Amino acid sequence: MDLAAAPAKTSHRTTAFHGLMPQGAGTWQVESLHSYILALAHSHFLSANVFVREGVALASAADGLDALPTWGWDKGAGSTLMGVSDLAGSLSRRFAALTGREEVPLTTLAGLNGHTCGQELIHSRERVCTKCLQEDLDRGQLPYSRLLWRVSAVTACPLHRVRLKEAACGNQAGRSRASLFGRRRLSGSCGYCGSLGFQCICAPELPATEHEVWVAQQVGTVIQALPKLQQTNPLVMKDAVRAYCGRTNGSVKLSERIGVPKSQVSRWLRRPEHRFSLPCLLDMCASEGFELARLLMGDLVRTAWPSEVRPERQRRQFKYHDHRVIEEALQHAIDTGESISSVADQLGIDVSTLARHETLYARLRDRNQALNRQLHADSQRAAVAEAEQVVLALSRQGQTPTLRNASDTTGSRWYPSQLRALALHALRMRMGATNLRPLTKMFNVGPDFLRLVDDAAARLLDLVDRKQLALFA
Amino acid sequence: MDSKELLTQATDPMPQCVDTHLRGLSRDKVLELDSATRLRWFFLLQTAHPELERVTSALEELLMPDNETKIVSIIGMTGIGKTTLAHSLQRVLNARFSAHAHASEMPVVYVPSPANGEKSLSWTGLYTRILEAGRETLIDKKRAQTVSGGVLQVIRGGRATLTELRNFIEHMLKIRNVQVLIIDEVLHLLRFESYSAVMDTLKSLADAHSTKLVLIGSYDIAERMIEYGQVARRGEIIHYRRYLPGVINAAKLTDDQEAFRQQVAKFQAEWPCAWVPNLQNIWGDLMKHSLGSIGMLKTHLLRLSSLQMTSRGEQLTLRHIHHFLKPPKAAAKILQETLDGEALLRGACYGDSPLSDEECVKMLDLLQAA
Repeated sequence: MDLAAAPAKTSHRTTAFHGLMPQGAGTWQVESLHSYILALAHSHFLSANVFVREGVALASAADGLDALPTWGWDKGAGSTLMGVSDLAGSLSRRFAALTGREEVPLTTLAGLNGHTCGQELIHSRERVCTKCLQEDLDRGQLPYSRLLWRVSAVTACPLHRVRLKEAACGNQAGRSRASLFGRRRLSGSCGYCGSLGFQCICAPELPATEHEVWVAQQVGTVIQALPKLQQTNPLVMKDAVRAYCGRTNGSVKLSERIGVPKSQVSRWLRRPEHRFSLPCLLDMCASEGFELARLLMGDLVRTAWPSEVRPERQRRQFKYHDHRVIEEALQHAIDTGESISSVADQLGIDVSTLARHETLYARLRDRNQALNRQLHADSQRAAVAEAEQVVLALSRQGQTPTLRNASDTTGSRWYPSQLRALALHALRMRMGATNLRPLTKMFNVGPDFLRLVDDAAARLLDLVDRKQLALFA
Repeated sequence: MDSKELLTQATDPMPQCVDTHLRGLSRDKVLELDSATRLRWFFLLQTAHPELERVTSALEELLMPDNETKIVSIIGMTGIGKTTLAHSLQRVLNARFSAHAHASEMPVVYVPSPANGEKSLSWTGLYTRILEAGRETLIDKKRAQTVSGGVLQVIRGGRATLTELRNFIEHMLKIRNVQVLIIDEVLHLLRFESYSAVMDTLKSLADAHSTKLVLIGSYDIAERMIEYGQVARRGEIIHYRRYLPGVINAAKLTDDQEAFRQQVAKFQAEWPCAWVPNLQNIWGDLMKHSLGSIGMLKTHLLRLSSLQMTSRGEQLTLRHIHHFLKPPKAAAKILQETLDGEALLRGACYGDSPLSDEECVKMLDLLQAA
């Protein structure tokens, strides 16, 4: 050991978060990103919300990474975190960077983004196999929620051949007010009574059907093959199916066998960007005898499935719409400023039907987005202006511009969660308050808001005298 | 910028972003830079010398994972370069362990322990500093959690208690796989009555996850460390010694004098100004006024170079010679403390044998005899 020749700087840069390995990484039992985040928060002794909202923002800023939108990360038991959405991909990559674990992206289905769409992909409530959780406990580890269980199409545990149970607490006695306040989120344990392994669920164990087990097994093989599938070009699958249709009576017959409209199949085959939902792909596998993971890789090997395995999709009933009326409604909405969803509501159709009128739809969407941006900017401007006025008024009265004083002056309550309160806080900091720390929300409001605050602070510094300025110190 | 400002800026102990780049530069390249950067480069310059190598080799033995020693105290005179040694140790150990460590692991954690003016030890402050050094996030918002009877519960309350903070540290040491925990300026922890309680607590923390403790301090802690060392097994003291100036006989220099002279030559070869003073001519005076401490020598030379840099044409004047050495009263106080500390540590440190050199040779012969 030569201390004089110590390296100028070690290549070792410790990650911001603990390097927990995702449970079951590389197997079909891999945990979901939501479960991983809860486990990571647990490891840091933080509540999941504080960990994601503040911890991720602080750690990202410390490592020189951009802020990520984390609003609503927990919605639908974290359903947006596990599917093929951009958020799932970006958040999993961010956690991989912050923990140094390259396996984290395998906790989402983001790798299937080119293969399947997000429709009917992730279930919005947590479902569990209590037998698997018990086995986790028996192995001496904390139980965790599997990514497989969150896939909507999966309704059974392929290992124990039982139906998954809704993670609903059945322990009424344990749900006191005190325990609700003291609860800690951790996947695989009840959020209400804290029971590890959801031993509080009182729903009976129901055996799964052959078809349910088959679906779970197929999705399981896909989850296991995620590292390979991420590297696979999704168009290989379409090329293989196109060639297969050429050998087996064409795409029309295929669509009839799997119970999907023929236009949908032909569109899927023609357009590279079109993706089938996972249930649709499963029906194709069930009818044609394909294995799902191999189908996604373009390897169409036929297997004889048990007789119970067959396509489950009901052919959809189509309503015929007058597209001239839809066009007029869209045009009217562009003129009047209606939203897309209200047009869809009025016509009794879904948004995807509106989206078929690509040009009008895009115009309406862009106009609404611009309007929303404008409203957002206006609200920021109004918040900063109000804070500026209050700061000026209070400093002239010789009062420190705190939220309490602002509430007393304006006659309305100022809460820390309000944008105007954030502006007031930022203004105080810009004016020289040394006892304040930047709020984590400041990392998320964007540079425009902070620029408005800077301008307001510059104006205020011209208006207040030295004595008034001392109120900010 | 006057020489004081220049010196203060260049010797800022906080790492600066240019440091990594500067450490890799040669003198020729450095001479093209501005004076503040040159002085910073000279401040960062580290050269090997026999005493540093002895301390390093002792540390290397004691910090090996299979060595049973749990607590290593590095004690030396004020300004000898203990903190610089700690920073270098941190970099070297990090480089060594990082080859096998995952990116989330932190093989070495360095905890500065500054005085905070409190009348009693603030455990919360100490624990928080250890957690901060371990790169823990949102420490104020951490809440303990328990698992009992198959139920997970979070303990609510305004702030984490000491026990909870301690649990957070134990968890951090384990999950970050901390091999060595370095606590600098340990005097600030041990100056209170309950120092043995502090030591017991630190030791039990380290025991929680086979982490070795390195405590760094000046002679002020010597007595307490010796006292504690007698009751604590698996604790060792490393004495970071100065070179003894003695009476200089130019015809026959002692080992210490020769080592110091060579160190002066090394600093002269890396002098941060184009015009290089002949330091070799005054090495004996430098050794006397630096009390044989390489750290203090460097402090003097940094002051001299800063004075030179701020003078016209970067030339030395008589005024500079008046100003670059430590005032005699301050030096005398340090010398007295050092002599007391050296007397106290004699025979109590790692490598101090109860046998004389001759007895050692005799014992080795007996052991090697057929």
